[in-house]
Amino acid sequence: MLECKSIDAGYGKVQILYGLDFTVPKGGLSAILGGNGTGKSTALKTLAGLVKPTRGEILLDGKRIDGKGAHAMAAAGLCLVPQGKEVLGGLSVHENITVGAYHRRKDKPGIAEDVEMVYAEFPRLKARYKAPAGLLSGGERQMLSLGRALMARPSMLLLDEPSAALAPKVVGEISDIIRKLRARGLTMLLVEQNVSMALELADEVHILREGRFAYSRKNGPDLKVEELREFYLGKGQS
Amino acid sequence: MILFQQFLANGVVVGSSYVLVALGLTLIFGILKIVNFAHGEFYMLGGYVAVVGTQVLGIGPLPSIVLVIVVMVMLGWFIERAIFVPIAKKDPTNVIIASFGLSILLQNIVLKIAGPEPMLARSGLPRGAIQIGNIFLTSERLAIVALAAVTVTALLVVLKYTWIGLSLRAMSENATVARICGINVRRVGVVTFAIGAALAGLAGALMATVFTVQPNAGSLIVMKAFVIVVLAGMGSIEGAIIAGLALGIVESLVTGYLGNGLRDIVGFIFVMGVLTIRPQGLFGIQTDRS
Amino acid sequence: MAIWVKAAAAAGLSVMISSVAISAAFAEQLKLGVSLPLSGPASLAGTSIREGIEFAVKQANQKGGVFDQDVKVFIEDDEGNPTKGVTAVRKLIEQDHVVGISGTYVSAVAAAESKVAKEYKVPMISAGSTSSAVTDANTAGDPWFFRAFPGSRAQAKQTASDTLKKLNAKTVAVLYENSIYGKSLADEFKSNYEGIGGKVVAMEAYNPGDKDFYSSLTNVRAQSPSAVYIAGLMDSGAQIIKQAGELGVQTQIVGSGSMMSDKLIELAGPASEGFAVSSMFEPSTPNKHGAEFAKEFRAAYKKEPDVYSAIGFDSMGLLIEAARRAGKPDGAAMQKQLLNMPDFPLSQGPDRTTAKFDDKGSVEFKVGLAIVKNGKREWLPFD
Repeated sequence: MLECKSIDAGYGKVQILYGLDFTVPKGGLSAILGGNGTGKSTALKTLAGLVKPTRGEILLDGKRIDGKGAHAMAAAGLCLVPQGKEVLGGLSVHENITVGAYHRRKDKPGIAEDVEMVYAEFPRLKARYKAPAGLLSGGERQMLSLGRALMARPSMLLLDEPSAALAPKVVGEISDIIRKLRARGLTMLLVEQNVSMALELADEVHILREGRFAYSRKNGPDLKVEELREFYLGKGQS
Repeated sequence: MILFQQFLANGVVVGSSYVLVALGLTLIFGILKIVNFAHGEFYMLGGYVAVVGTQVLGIGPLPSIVLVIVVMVMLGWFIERAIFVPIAKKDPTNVIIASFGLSILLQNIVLKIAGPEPMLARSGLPRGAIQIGNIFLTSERLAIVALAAVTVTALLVVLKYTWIGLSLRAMSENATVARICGINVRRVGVVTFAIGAALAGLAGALMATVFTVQPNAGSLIVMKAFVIVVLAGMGSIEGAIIAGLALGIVESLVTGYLGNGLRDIVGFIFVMGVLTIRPQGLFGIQTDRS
Repeated sequence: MAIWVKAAAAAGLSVMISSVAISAAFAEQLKLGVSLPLSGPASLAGTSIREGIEFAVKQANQKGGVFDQDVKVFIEDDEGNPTKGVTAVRKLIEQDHVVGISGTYVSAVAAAESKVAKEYKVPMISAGSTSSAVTDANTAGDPWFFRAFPGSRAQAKQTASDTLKKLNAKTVAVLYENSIYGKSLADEFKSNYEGIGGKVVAMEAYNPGDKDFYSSLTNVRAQSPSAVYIAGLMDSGAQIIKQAGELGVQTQIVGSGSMMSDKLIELAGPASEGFAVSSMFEPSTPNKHGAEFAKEFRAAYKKEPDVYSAIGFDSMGLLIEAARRAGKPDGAAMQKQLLNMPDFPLSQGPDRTTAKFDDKGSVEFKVGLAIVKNGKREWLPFD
């Protein structure tokens, strides 16, 4: 379970986020939607520990994780899955996967087991395990990022625009993988521009505008797509 | 052909020291994105520590090498923590200027303590030439090549097969991804600086047994190391090894066939030519980052 | 640009006026400047020259100074760099108001500095720079840059003849530092040596501070000359001698004046055995004035003087004596005195060598040759 309590964050004197308040229940999948410049990526960086919040608390399964720094997140159980372009391009596919287990590097047998698990999940990665990650296709890179995150044995995943710059068919494949991971009990927060993907996967949807949640609704028959689109495009008022 | 063999051997000796210095520089640049102009002074200080070990303390060549590595690791550690980290926090571009200042500072401190005279580190190896076929070398020169080869191999093994190595390479590729995998930037920073300083110091120590060491001994070699790093592609380890040896050999051949006066500019001409054709350097992979 | 020049001229003028005012106000203290490479590759020589200079000042002050006051000396480090040297000389003249300068060691720096000193009419005396080009640039009869020992032309001529006649070497390979100093010596050596029947088989330049000569020496070995002449500084010279030994180059090696140093013998090790170097001063000099200097220097510093301390001693001694004879601390008056001091003894050169400057500001005397035997230089008698 992820709890965010009145988070403010920004860079230097520039404040970007104002009082973000939300919870992702254990095993749940929430989505934060927003266009460019709405504070979406700052929210993600704050949760991942790359930016320190100036106010508020972040709790993972009841334990404070804010202020610990990005490198402590993996051990705490929270793992960011960056956009597909963010791979270690000069390292091999195999090394990209292995490095995900850095925080538990003493657990040799466990790591070997998990590497097999990731290869079983993503056979295309196994086929190219020696290749430099920089030479993979967009879809393969997204799979690689997911596989690397799984190596940390996280309880929670932060997904940064997994659909970005991918062909519709590949987006479908990635969606299937996300559903499969959820079925295993992973808690997930999806940060997206792609409204239809978010609606397809999430239990709850938040729309971020100018650093605040402009709209938050449970996903279900009551959610009116038209209304959501208006908020997303910045016309609606709550 | 006899001349050629000798030129080649000379080039490998000098190239070996270039490789050691350039490797540290490229590690520091690739991982910390710091352009360290004080790297030549690490080379120079390594030479002086070797002089202290072999001449002042009289502890023999191998313990002296251990001393050089220990001192340089501690110095790299200290400089990263005490100078570069605090300055980079305020404004990363100031680090370049700080490294310039550090270079001048270290040279002058050594000048005050040791004086301007060139000093020789004693290798304890037998004097005189060893003839291999048509090639004349001294045991000291052979030792430089052998120790450089051992060091470079050890470094490659560490980088390729250990978690420290993996964390260094990951940090060099993409700092954000490395951090979210649980890699501590500050720890990697210190380790990188310590390794870089130790490599340069080792090169300086080895060269001080043959070519002596002076307070300004690092000024020219750091420029050559920059040429090698740029030529190889910023941050490329294998590239730095090949380009370092190549520069040593090319310089030696140019000296032999065209004259000594051209030696120090040939590298710069080479780098300009390569950069117009391959801006990413000879061994830099241009990966898609859009 | 024009404005800048005017501003500079105005500033220079005001400085000159104020310097005149100041020297009038403080009655007559003699202020002299020194420019030397005290850091950088040439600093080994620089620090040794400074000792000679300081010794000359100490001696003068112990005898009551000049104009009843101690002589004051301002020392600047030019780092062997022409730009730094010009800045140093400007500071000495404009801020410290010196009326004479002893400097400097690196010929290229001396060439640059001498132009500034001449502009301000402050006489300069070389503190080791050898290239004849610097004194050649003087106007005949009105030199502002002096050298109290023979220039590169005379030194190279003597070395050429010594190499052929005393050392019996008919073919020579020349290795020279790519600087005014090295190049002027090398060119003049070649023309003199070939003029008297020798053959120069190779001329090879190297950059100042170079330390690896294996490739150059590999070529030299292939040509097997009977001697190698090195025109350059001590640190590179020591490497050439040592590496020649390692490569099995079996020839006589001859070095230029900068290599008259015990440090060279230490650095080059056993390979320096038999090395010949042109020499203007040794502690064992037959020059009586020089021997006196050596004795007093030894007593004061508890070590042997070398050619550098002798050069510094002569250079500073001349400036002090010129001021004393001029009767006032004035650069122009001192220059006139310097041209008329054939009675002033020098510590360098054969016995009875004096500061008999020619109209270009150079002193000519016979340059000797020393050969390293059992780890010590031995002076061959002047022929």
